[in-house]
Amino acid sequence: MNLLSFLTSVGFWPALAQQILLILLTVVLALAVGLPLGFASYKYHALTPPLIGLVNLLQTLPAFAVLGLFMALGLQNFTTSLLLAFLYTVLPVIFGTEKGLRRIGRPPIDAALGMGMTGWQVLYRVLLPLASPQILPGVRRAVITAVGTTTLATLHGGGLGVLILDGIYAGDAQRVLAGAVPACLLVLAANGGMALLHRRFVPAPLRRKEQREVFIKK
Amino acid sequence: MIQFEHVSKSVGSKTVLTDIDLVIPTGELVVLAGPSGCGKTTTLKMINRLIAPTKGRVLVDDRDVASRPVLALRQGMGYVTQHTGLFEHLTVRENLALPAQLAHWDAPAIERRLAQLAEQFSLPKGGFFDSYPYQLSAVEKQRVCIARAFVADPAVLLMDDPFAALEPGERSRMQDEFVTMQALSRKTVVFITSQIEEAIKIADRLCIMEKGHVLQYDKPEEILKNPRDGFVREFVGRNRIFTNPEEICARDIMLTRPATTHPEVPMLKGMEKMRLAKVDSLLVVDEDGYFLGIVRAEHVHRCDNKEEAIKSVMREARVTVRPDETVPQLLAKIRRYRVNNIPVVEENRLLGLITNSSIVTILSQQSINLEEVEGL
Repeated sequence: MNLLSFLTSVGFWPALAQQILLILLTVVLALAVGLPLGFASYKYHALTPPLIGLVNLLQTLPAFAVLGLFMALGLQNFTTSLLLAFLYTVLPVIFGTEKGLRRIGRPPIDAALGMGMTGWQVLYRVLLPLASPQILPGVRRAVITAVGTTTLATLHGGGLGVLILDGIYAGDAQRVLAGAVPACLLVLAANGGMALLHRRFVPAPLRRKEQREVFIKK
Repeated sequence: MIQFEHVSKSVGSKTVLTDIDLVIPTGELVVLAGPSGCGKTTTLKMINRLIAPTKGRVLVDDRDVASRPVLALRQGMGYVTQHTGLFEHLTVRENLALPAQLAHWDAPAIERRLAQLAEQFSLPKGGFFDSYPYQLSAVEKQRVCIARAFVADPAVLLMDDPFAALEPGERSRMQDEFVTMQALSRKTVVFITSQIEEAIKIADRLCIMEKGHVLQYDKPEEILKNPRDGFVREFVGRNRIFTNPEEICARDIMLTRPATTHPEVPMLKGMEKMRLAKVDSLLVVDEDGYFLGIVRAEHVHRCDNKEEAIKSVMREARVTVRPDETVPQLLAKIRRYRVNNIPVVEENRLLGLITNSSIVTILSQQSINLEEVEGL
């Protein structure tokens, strides 16, 4: 049997499409919530400790166990998959944003305000570029986590996870591989893509000492 | 003209500024000087509304800044923050162009202005405008930062300790350049420093602040001549200008680090020290700082065995003075004992040394009529 017709026969294409859709939605949602929350916790320092607490709490919970909780509650649809993936992706975005903004310090902000920039100009001409060396690794980490967690979260929502699970039940190694190999390739692709974005969005002088973060996680 | 009218500022329960009244005339360079935390930065930031007063008001050209459109107000003022505040992600050119862009200048006008500034601030030619702040030396950063404040040709300049990061030599050179520049452009400048020497050097008017209060605000010469008691006098310190020799104490004019030696040191080394320090005598001081006597080159020469310790040729000082003795008293002692220099001693400890020439030098720098000083 040739590879393409095999993939079609196990329902690979819709699974892949749904997984990618889920990843994109997760990342967009994580950015939409994470960037403002990161900014808020930079602006109002009092917010940071509870957020750190939340980070620690949620990152301690194994994703698989949380999925189990959802299933026990009878929640098994696309939205819960999204919610689960979102829980684990929003935090690096919040954190990266907060850390990046916090590092900037007072002088450039005073200088920007003092020369007569509006709040938005300060944000997109000064704060975001200067914080980007920390924001982008946060986003990168979020994207990679999103790929991993959506694989898990799609166990019952459609997606590559279904292929893996079905394959395991059926003792069909080929089917497991049809889910597992693309899932791994997706992570690598996401990682590479984010590296390109990093180079595109972080201004050259701030890329000098790129901290290569090592992803040791669960 | 910038006016502070009964301005106070408190943050929470902490009072930062108390009832500041200040008039900064147009075209003058006013220096706010004081130790860190005295409220000078807060005062400065009220002018461009980065900080709002809790009480009172700040007027620029007779209009309350709070009632003016904030962006236009700030665009009309050049601002140099502490620790430069250049934008690390932008090139020198982009940094410099920003204030002009905010004021909607067109590109050719900005380019012309930058060329003009490069000249005025002696910025290097070549690729300098395309380099990033991290590639610049501390002095270059400082120049760019000040140039940036001048870009939109504002009438008012606010400078928050701009030379703090520079080494003494560079700092002094920048001060000189800035004074020249100010003399030519006649902008209204509010300048912050924590160094009294810098303040004296550049100020048209000097405002000494401490703990949120203005202690004294006057021409520098007035402050140096008549510093108010307490903090101002202490802050002015040795820079004080005296009008009467009776006011000058030995403490004010003594050399604080005269050449000294320990009594157990061999004479050979003592001679070497005199040679290096270009003096003909050393003050002998023990390890606890107690003053023991003087050893002169001529005494060492007369001694055959120069391996011996200095204490064997040391003499007691013919005369010493207390730190609070005044110049006429010093001069009288110098004449009576026919000495060229007198150790300053308090409770048997050596504090410094007065030399005949140091008295003459110091007196000639004060506003004292030398012919009227007896015994010079």
